[in-house]
Amino acid sequence: MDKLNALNTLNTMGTTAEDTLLQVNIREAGYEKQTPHLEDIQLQLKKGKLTGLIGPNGAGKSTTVKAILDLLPYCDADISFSSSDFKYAYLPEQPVYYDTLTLWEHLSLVGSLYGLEEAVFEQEANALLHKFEMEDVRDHLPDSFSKGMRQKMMLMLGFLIQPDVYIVDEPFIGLDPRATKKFLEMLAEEQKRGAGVLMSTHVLDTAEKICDDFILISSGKVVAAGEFDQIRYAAGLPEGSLMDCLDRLT
Amino acid sequence: MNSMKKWSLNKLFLRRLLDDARSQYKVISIVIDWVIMLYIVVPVGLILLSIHVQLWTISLPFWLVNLPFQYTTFIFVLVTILGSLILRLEAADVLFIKQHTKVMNGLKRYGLLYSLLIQGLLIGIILFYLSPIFVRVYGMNVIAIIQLFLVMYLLKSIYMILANLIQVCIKGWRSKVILFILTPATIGVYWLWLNFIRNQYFILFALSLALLLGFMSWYRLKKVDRFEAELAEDQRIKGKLTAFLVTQAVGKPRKLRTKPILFKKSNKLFKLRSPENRLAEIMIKSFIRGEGFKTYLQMSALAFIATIMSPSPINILIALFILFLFISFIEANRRAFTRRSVMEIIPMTDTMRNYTYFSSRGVLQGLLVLPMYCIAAGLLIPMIGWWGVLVAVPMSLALTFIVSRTYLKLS
Repeated sequence: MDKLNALNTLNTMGTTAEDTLLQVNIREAGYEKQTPHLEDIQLQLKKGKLTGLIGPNGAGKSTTVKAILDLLPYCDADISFSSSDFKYAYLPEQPVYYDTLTLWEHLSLVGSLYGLEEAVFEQEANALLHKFEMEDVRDHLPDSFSKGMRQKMMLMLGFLIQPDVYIVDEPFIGLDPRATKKFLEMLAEEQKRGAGVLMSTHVLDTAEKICDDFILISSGKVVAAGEFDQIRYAAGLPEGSLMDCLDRLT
Repeated sequence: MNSMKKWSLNKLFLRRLLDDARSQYKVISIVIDWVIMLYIVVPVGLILLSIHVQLWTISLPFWLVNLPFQYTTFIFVLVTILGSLILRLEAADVLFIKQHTKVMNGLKRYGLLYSLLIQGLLIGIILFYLSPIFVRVYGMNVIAIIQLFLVMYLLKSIYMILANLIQVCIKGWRSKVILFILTPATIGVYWLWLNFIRNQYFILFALSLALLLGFMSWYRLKKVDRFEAELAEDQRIKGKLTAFLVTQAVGKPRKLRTKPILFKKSNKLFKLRSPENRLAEIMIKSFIRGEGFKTYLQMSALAFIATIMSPSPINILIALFILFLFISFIEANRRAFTRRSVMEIIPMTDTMRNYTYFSSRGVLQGLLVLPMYCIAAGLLIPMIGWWGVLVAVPMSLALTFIVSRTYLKLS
């Protein structure tokens, strides 16, 4: 894959190249070269925007995410980032963590990996603990956390490095409505900072409300892309919901 | 035609032995990490070998020299516990083999003979290992040791067949009661031989036992035919090992801890707060709180025993070998940490890879101190007495410092 290419083209939405954080052009990708799961997938992620990667089960959403993260055995793609010091944070469907490390030690691990000065790290990490209301569980092991708290921990790890892009895979599974709302509020804050968010989900009613634009995938191919009105237009359903459009298009 | 039948029987029995070995290997593989086992088996093997050699050479301690011969009863108790009769029957035999009486009886005969053979080997190994004590403490010659072997072997074989017969032929609480009596009764016979028969009537006693074993074997093979019960007994014995291993593997469900037991407040371990040292600190804490720490402590204790019990200069070679094992073990754990799924989701740059690479020095520095101390103490105590316990402290610190730095340069 040709990574870290500076972007110098105008994107399809008419915004300038400076607004585009991540540009993906997957020609073919999958677990074996002979049977690619993805074909011709293009997407762009812009500053402060939330892009929904939408599709039914088995459509190729998680495979697309893996292709972007370079986790697939076979991937013929160009993935270009906005700058050479581009940083992303990946929030997997199931939060992953070390069961032998406390919340503070997880933060410290990421801080050390990114070479943050210890004094700076401690200041930032303490501010995050306060912001996420996790001060009481600073020295607790994540095994004792609820799924919502683990999601928060993953977000905190992301916030600590202030990434350009968040790649979020199926975030709503296992979260109650309040935790979902809190999670979205926190993501929205990061969007305000200018971070882009690529969110793979099949919770369509929520996606319809929060996403700025969509990539609809079916059988490993893009069937429609753009803002909600453009999706409706592509589906021939000017008043239809995202669910109706997906139903029509896939 | 006859030889063909015999060949099929041999092949069938051999196949069953191999299948049993394979299934036990699978069970053990679920429970045991062979790489970690290597770290335990090699030092334990070295220690046992070293103890055997030293029992021939060193001046024996007072308590051992004055140990009465009656204490061999404990060896016989151990022998009684180890091993049972397995006829190697299979559930499918009822369909395919049971009607062929000759093959069925042949299988049972082979099963009995194989169990007796294994018992002989086991008792032989135990007595051979302890032979320095028999020779040096009790002044026994080869004939006397063979006599001891024969008595233990014959008694255990009879015990084994009787225990099997009781399980197969008697049901319910009666079998439990009789089995409960059988074990002390057999040990009692050994005790009788030890105290009253050993010197005068050995041949008569051994012949009587051999005749009894012959009769019991004949009775077991010819007079008892209870396929279901025999199969159940075979399965029970085979399942014992699996049950034991699975209990070890599954254990109690892991307690979900809110806070770690060690380093509750994420205490700092290194004075120099560079990113690589902070990473090393996290890896050390994770290791100490993790599953591998118990093995690490056991290995450290074994390292001390192996070095203190080995004669010079072999102890130096053993120390170097153990040190090599520890470095590989610690490094393998550090690498495993960096390959966990959490690290996979972090986009790694070259700088970050450098930090993890250089964290190796801190990790070795932190985790090599204890085994290095055990090795140093094990080497120094035979040389300078108990002062070695104290001198080993600065020595292990200095050596750990040198080794952790040298390792990074060499790797």
